[in-house]
Amino acid sequence: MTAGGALAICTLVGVAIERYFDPANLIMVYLAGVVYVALRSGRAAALFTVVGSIVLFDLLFVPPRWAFKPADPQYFFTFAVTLIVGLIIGQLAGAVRQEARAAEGRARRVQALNRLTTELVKARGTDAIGAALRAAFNEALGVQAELLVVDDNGALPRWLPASDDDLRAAETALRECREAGAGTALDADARRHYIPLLAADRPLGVLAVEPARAEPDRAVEQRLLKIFANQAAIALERALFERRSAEAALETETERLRSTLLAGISHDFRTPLTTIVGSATSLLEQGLVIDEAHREALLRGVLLEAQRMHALLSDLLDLTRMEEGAVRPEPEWCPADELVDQARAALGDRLDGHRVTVDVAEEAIVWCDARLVEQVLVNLLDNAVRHTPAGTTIAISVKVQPGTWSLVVHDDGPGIPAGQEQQIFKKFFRGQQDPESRGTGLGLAICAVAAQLHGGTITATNERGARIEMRLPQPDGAAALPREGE
Amino acid sequence: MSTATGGAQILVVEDEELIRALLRTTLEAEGYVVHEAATAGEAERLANNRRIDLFLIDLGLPDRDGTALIRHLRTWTQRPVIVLSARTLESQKVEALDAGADDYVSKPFGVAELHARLRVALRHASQTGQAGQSRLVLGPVTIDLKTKTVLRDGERVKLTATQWRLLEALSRHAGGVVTSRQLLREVWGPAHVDQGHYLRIYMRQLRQRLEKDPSHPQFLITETGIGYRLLVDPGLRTEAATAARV
Repeated sequence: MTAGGALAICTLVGVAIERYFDPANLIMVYLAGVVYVALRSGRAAALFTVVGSIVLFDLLFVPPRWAFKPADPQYFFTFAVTLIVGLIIGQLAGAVRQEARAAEGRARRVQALNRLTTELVKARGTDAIGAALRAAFNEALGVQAELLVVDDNGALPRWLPASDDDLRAAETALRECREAGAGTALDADARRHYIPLLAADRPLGVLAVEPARAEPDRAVEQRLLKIFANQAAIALERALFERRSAEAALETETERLRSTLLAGISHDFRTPLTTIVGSATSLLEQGLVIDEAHREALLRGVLLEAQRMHALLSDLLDLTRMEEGAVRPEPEWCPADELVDQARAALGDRLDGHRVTVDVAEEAIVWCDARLVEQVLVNLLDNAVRHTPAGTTIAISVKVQPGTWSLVVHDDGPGIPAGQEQQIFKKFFRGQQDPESRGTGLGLAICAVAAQLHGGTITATNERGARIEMRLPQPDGAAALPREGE
Repeated sequence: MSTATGGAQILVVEDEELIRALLRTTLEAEGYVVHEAATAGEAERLANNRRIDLFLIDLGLPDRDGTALIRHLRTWTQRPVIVLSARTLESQKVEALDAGADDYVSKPFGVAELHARLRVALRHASQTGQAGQSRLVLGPVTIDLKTKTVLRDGERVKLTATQWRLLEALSRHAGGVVTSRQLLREVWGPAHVDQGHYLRIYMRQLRQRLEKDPSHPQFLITETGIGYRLLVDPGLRTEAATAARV
């Protein structure tokens, strides 16, 4: 392309200045074109331009025109000199160009390496390391590369695009801690080149590299591969250490939670048990000297405390089973008003002291596990009753929107203490220390887990009273009803 | 011996000795005759030798699953079976009900609830034992199973075919609990046992036609996670509700 263009331009210039100069001088214009082409497009194009120049010069400018054989034989000398000069120029310019390209390649590789190093320092986790490596290989060598990280058992992941030969080569590289696959002595049938990534104590993974299409310098490529592999191994080892220390931290946190939980449980069980044991022994040993009214009071205390223990145990079991995945939500289309009615019925006369308003569209149908959502609503209402004075209004509302539905319990009581809006969903968090209105400290934690199991969220805010909103996903297309066939 | 319970013979199958003793005390105080078994094997031996009017079975037995015992009993007797089970184990209760149990009482239970359940089950058994009860009276609502008519305050209530089948299925087990699965199978057929929303929506329609206040049903009661109950004795509900919650 460049060569053709240069020839055309040189010819036009030659035609334009032909009448002012001796024909022999016009060949200089063509030589200028040769220099340009040699710098731009390399040796082969320069050679083509030289030959083309001589032919065109002969045809167009050397008399007789449109004939190859010049009238004056001294032009043969001009042609020969032009050819030699042209070839030398092409050679020199080509060398300059190649040197420039090599320098550019070096710069690109250095840049890719720098970028890789920065990326690897930032990378958290093996996926990010893999992505950084892929980008670096693409940039530096123009090849595809893939990072295969061994799992905890030291096995390679299933890697879909790989053939059996490739899988075997990857395994070999890992086992022998030597390079394998294409271009090596081991399992050379594989399509890719596999480089093991080694840490001090064990291989961490394998780098799978596709062979380069045309890398002029194998030695450079090999060296770069080694550097990249080293960088990858260091990054992987660090990621591994980070993961281990994160796991250790999690374990410590779990341990801490467990002991908090145990402390909470043992306290909450011991208190009612004290009442029960005390009342029962009192009745057994002093039953005859205690008057009827006090006997009944003691018995009622036993019942009340036993029921409290039952509530605590039930909540604890529910929460544990939900957290451990033993409870899986079984969502169905449910009429929203029935959920609300059921929850209110379950609370019975506990709601009598409060004013309850309900805002639910009559035909609203929501997607949820009815049992779990009823439990959530019971807990939210119970919570509202517990933390607001008698006469407070508790507003229940259900709103259905495309893709989501929400359940809101909003009271106009004193609200949630500032800054505790998140903590109230934690286990054994109790807003109020008044023993009479104490709950199990698990009700809202159960709500949070139930929302999470549905793939939804629950949030608490203060808006002239406490407002708790649960938002659950609502798939498209409400329930299809069976047709009345008869 | 109290005549209120007619000296009905009850077989208590429960492995915890203290609970067995408690049940014997409270049941005998109501005038029942109590037989005790601590294992499923013992229960089967006793059931073969005595005329038992009602079985009260704990689901967690040492030698065999309580549900298996119910299934076995159902091969030769239609006497009422009431299950004792922990509150959180809904699936266990549903399984026992599907195996043929008539009702359940959640542990821990108040005795008022226990006695109410026993009364309903025994009454239902004696009625179906005779010519079969064809008329149910639920306050202002009368259900006639023979003529397939429903009257409310003396006026006929129009029901669609599906609504009637649902009401009929509940009426046949009046007082007892019927699992969602059973209802779906009886009303819509075995292919629809997973379509729980059918039930919810038709139940709602029935409530709108039969209940005075559909959002506070007195007869058509949802037992969340288990099924539905046609309550013939509305007094029972409040007892049960107060017993369950503090």
